[in-house]
Formats: sequence, structure tokens, C-alpha cells
Amino acid sequence: MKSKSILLLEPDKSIATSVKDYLALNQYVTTQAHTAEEAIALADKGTYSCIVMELVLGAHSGIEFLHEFHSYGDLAKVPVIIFTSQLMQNNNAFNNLGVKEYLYKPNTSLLKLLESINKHVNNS
Amino acid sequence: MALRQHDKLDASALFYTLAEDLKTPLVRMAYKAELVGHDKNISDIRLNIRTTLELLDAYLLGAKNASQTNLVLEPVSPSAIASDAAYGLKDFAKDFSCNLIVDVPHNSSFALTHRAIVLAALSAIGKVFIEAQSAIASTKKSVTIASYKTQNGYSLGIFCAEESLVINKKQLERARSQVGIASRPFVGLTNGASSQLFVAEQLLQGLQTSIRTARRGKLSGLVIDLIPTAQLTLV
Repeated sequence: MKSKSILLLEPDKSIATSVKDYLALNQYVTTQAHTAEEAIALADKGTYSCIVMELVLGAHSGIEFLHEFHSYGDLAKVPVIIFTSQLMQNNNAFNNLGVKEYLYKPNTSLLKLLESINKHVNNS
Repeated sequence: MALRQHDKLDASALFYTLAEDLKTPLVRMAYKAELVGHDKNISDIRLNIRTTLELLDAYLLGAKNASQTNLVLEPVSPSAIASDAAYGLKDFAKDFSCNLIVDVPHNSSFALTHRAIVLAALSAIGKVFIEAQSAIASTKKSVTIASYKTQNGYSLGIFCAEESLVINKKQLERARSQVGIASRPFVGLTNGASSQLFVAEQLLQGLQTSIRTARRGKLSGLVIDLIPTAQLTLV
């Protein structure tokens, strides 16, 4: 079975490693980016089935990344899952930027993240 | 000097910031535990982490909204909130070998309130009762989550049949006066500080209401009163 590729934008190294290891157990290859710039550079070079991203980043906000990422025509079709520590009142605020799902980390297990990825990768 | 500017740092503002920061290491631990496996011990660890995260989020929601005068209220079904609270509490109740009973009316009715606040407050009260039950020798442990109509509107509450857990108005008032002073403001309820109850109270401050004691048949408990709304009842 061909591995599917995930781009993970996650500034927290511990969480990034846990996500990467868990997805690897489920036949996903995960490329980690810790900053928005890294993520843009990686997205430009590679092909990904899904983007999983934190909104709360260091120098730039995840929202800026979303806007920039979505502006690249060929990347706009890649499903984006927001996987964030930021509690949002409106979970659908970024649907027009290719965001398929909003997951709040304290309420989301790795299994739930995997199920979400599976759903959106299989639908795309 | 810079330090002197900060020596009057507000304690509650500091704790708000601390509470935000406490979530990250807990999330890290939860994910490491999930990677380790799925035996009972790991499940217990994850449940405890999740409970702590929920307590922190409830505190943060309450702290943020306590001083708000313009909270956006909307018509919400009290029965739906009771059902959602029961769903959120089921794993916690199972861990404490406590049955959860949901007692809601069949007909739809609506109250004007803030759903997230009331749900967080009800869930917090539920956890206190579930945990309190575990210290009791009785084999039959159950907690009832109820939604019902009252003379003035609706009440949402947590009840139990255990006589030793009956909380009267005087005990509740005394406990409120001991928050921040005693390590166990509510002696006889749980082994800990029962902070969930006071987090629930803080949450409800934003709605200009508070917890009160109540009886429902042979059950006693704590309830949140809600204002009814005529919106949506004509649908």
C-alpha cells in the first residue's frame, strides 16, 4: 500500500514527534515544519495528501500561512486540518481557505486526529 | 527598575496566564501516553489528563467571562445541555464506577443563556458529585443529571441519593467563604479542594447567576437556574 504524505506544521517539538510517530504506525509519512516559512518551502517542493497545522505559531500566525498557502493554485485543493491549542468560538471561520476540520488539541486524541485525516484524505 | 514595576502583579491575572501554560505539558503527556498503549493504566492516565485540561479550560472560560457585561446569549435547550454533559461525563463516571442517569423532559423547551458556560459549569459540578460518590462505601453509586421546569424558568442540576452528600444552603455559603483560605473549603464532599464547584460558580458569574441547593424527590443536589425564552417555541 502506497504511503500517504502529511505536512505537519507544529511548533511544539514534543507534540510534533508524537503525531509523526502515531501517523507512522498507520502508514502515513509525515514531514514536519516548525514554522510557517518552513511549511511554505516544503509545500512548494513536495506533494501532500493533507496539511495538519497549528494556528498558534511563533513569528507568524497560522492564519497568515493559510492565506498564503491557499493562494497557490495547485495547493489550494489539499485538505487542511487545523489542530490547535487555540479555543475558537467559530469552528467554520476558515472554511473558505480549504480548512476541512477544526480540532482543539486538549479535546482531541491522536486517534481522533487520525480518523479526521483518514476521512479527508479519502475524500480528496 | 523593571522588577519594581511588576511587584504588584495581579494574582488572578498571573494564574490565568499560568493556567494557559499548564495545558501544553498536559497535552504532550496525553499524546505520549497514547503512543505507549491502550491498557487500563494508560487509559486512566489519559482520563486524568483530560479531566485536568477540562478543569483548566473551564477556569479560563469563567475567568475570561466573569467581568463581561455583554455576553451573547441565545436560545438553548436545557435538555440538550444535560444530555451533552452526560455524554462528556460518561468516561469519568465509568472510571469512578458511578452510574449516570439522565432525567430530561421529552418536550423541547428553550432558555436564554450561554451554552458553553452552562455546559462547562454543569460538567464541573457533575465531576464533583461523581468523585464524591467514590468515597462512599455503598455499592450502588449513581448521579442524576436533570433538566426540569420550575416556577421561574428552568433548572439544570446534578443530584444524588446519598444522604451523606446532601449539601444544604449553609454548607454551600460556608464553603464559598473558605475559597482561597482553606485547603478543603468543602469538607466531607471530596478528598480535594472541590475546585470544580467554585470554577462552576465563576463561570456562572458571567450569567449573573450562581449555583443553589435543591431537592428533587429523594435526591438532593446543586442546580443552575435558567431564564426561559419564547424564541423558537412557535416553530
